[in-house]
Amino acid sequence: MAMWMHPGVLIIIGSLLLPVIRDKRLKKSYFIFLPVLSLVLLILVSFNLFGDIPFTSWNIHFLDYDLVLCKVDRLSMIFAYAFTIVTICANIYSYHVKKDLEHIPAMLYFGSTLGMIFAGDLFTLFIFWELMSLTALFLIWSNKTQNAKRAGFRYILWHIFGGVCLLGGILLHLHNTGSIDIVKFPWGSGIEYLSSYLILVGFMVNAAVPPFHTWLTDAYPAATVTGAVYLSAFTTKSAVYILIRCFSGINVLIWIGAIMAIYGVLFALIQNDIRKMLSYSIISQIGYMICGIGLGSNMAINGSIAHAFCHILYKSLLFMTAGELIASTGKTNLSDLGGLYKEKKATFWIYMIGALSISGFPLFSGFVSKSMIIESSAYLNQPFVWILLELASIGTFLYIVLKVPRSIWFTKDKRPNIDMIRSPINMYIGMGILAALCIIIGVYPNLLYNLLPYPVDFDPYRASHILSSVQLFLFAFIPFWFIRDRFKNENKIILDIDWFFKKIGGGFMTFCRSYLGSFRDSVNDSVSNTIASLVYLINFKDAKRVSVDYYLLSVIVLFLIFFIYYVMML
Amino acid sequence: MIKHNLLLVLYIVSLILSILVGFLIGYRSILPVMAETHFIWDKIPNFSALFGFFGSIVLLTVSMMLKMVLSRDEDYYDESDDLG
Repeated sequence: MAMWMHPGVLIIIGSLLLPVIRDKRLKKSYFIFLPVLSLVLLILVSFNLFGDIPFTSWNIHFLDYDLVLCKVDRLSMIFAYAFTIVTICANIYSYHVKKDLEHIPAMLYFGSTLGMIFAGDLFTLFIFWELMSLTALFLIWSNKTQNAKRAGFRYILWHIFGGVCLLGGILLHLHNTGSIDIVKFPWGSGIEYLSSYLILVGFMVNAAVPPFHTWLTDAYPAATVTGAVYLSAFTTKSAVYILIRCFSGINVLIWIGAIMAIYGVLFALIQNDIRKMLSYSIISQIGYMICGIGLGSNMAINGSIAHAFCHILYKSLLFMTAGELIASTGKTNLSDLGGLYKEKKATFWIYMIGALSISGFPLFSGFVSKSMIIESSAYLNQPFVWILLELASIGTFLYIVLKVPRSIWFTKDKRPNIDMIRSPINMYIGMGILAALCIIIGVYPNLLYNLLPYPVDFDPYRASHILSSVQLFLFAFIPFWFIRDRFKNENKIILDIDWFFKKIGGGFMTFCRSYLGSFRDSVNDSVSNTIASLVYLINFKDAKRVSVDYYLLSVIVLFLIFFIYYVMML
Repeated sequence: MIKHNLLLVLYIVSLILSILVGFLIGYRSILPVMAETHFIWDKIPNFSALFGFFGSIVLLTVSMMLKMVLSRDEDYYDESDDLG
């Protein structure tokens, strides 16, 4: 049997060679070669070349613990496949970018995500978890705008919070059970489950569960055009992966997920920045997955995994099309765009494939995965969850299939008077591959279903199911068309939960700087003057002249010191 | 303009067709496996059409209300936010 090579570690080491390569063409080829190598490795694993799945390898004995760097099973494999495929396409998409400082964080980010996916114990998980946050931070900062810098700071603050919760939870769990295995954590109410709560909060920060979601809608629109594609794929979906492993079947997640789905939709409907809208859309789609994890039946878990897989593909595709538009027009807001159909025909059609996939239209990828989660809610008799999820489906259709295309490609009177830059062909190739995959999965869902960990007993292409989805969308269109002109995009920001942090945090900083600052200054002055007086009392010659007040104060201090000394001696 | 009208006609035809098909197959009961109804509303034919229509109205109204309450000018955060 061949020696197993960890694709994550391979990518991390391999990406460090990027800046050393001098030849430009070689560097670019190597950049695309890295994720392809990872894909080849994964395919070899699938053919059981390194041992029958599931297996563990790279066991390291560290201090008193047995670290398992690599644990391969069907769940980790399907996520690894999704991440690798999307990275290949994203690398093709950013082939023309000549910034090492963007490529290296992107590849390190990808490598650490794979490392986290294959982690077999909590310590390894935590290390790669933190590495992901750190590399993502540098990917955000590779866009050198003031906005990206600030958003990056806020991003890392959130992830430090999440990381500390996770570490605290892991240490408590270790203290309680003595084990660092990644298992389904015990759940219930009471202080004895504190470790599970902390770990869950840590995971929820990365899954962008409201109210811990503002780092996502803040940082992703601030990243570079190409960087946002990587960002949109890894952090949230790897959190979904670990939630499936550790917290499946917990009732509270059903409601968190369903509310998250509708929350994301409502905010996405009113955004003006394209990528900010897509970020809220991520929150909404993650909501479906978390709901599926909470439902916990085999079908629901399968649905969550399948939906994560499809989501990674079509959301990256949507970020790519948005990025292409931003790169060539220089505009990020829907209100600044319009009537671009003639120039941007290809982008429009590619976008529509992604848009129909996300809204779950028959023959597109979202249809075969999202419906699994929604149907599970029906099987488990959760009418309100079903209503919320179906509503979120309608909302997704409204903003992504109706509102955005109308604002960008049609409404000719709003066409901006700008010269557009032609996008390089590699951008279209990257998008094209993902678009093709979205359709292939939609048409042949069994390709995806065969990868899922549980056997699938679900056929999305039943006549009644197709009809109900089509009807849902056909009739949702009517109200939109009637109010289409009132539902316009304006150059405004929409407040979210980060208002509390920004306003209260800002107020707190002002308080620290002005009030506490002047208080500190006064304490500083009086202490230094008192000490000066003490020196004056003890040694007349070396001290400077001090005022009578401080002379008295120092006498009192001396007296107090003697008094305390006396009391303690008693 | 002709293209526009053609699209509209196509759309209306598909609306009517979907409703007719909905009545024909009896919603969610074409296959014996799926014949069981999960919720009360599954017995209503063409429920999805109603749900789509009213759901869309609800979502658009709520989001427009949210926008009225929550939208601020672009420079709203500029004063307090002096990080970095």
